[in-house]
Amino acid sequence: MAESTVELVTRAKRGDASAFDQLVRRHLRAAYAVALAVLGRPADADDVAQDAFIAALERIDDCREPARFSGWLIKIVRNRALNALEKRRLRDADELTHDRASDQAPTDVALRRHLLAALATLTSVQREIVLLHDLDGWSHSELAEALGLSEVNCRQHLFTARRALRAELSALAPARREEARHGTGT
Amino acid sequence: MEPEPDMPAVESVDLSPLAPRHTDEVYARVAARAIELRKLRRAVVRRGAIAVVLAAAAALVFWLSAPRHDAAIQARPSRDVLDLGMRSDVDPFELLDLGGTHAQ
Repeated sequence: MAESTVELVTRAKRGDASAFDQLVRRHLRAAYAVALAVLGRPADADDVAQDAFIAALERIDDCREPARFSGWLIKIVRNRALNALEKRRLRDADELTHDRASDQAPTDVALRRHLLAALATLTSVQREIVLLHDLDGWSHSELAEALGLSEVNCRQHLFTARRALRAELSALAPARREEARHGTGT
Repeated sequence: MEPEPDMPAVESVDLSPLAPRHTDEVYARVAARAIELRKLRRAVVRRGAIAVVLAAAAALVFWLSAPRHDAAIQARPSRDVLDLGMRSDVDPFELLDLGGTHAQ
């Protein structure tokens, strides 16, 4: 039986290395989802998620309520991602130079690009909810607790986000077909 | 439009193309780095705490070894000729005699 997050956090506070490893395996994808919701670029989001996770675990003693580890982690990731976003705006770098998806098939790259474009039309809360729910499999109760919302509110956000994503992807579909036909994903 | 709780859910969009490619190596690297930084942080905090305690002890020793302010005040003569002259119950001739003695 898998250990609960509370047990893992308690063990990690005692310095148990395997607990750290388990926490990373269990929560790194959620951290990535939150970072992606803020930054909108998978490569940047992965970097920020890993950095934020390391910073969080380094200060695991500051997590006074292990039952709320997810919410605590998400706040750290979000703050780090917002800082990274601010720095990126200052740099004003080209988006494509940061996308490490060049080893993927052109159609995959095009699909990723369209998904990211569709996600960009959502609000930040909607992005976080749809990514945590549909990418990392969070339940509505987990979302509600971690984000400080009611479950009904989470369901509403998810409903609205999915509908907006579908509409946006439908609008982008002709362009995606055109890109796939020409095999130009970048 | 707000969805009702019993409203049929919109089918989810497949977001798997955005999923990160986290390997065992990535997990191990993140965990190892976190453990390493946590150890470093704890060592810095522990040494900092020791330094603060030592500094406080040194300050206490200095404070205790310094001459007491009250003792310095008490060592001063409590009264002189002028203080005596201000008193109404002192005979002026006695005071003049005293002054004369001081003058000599």
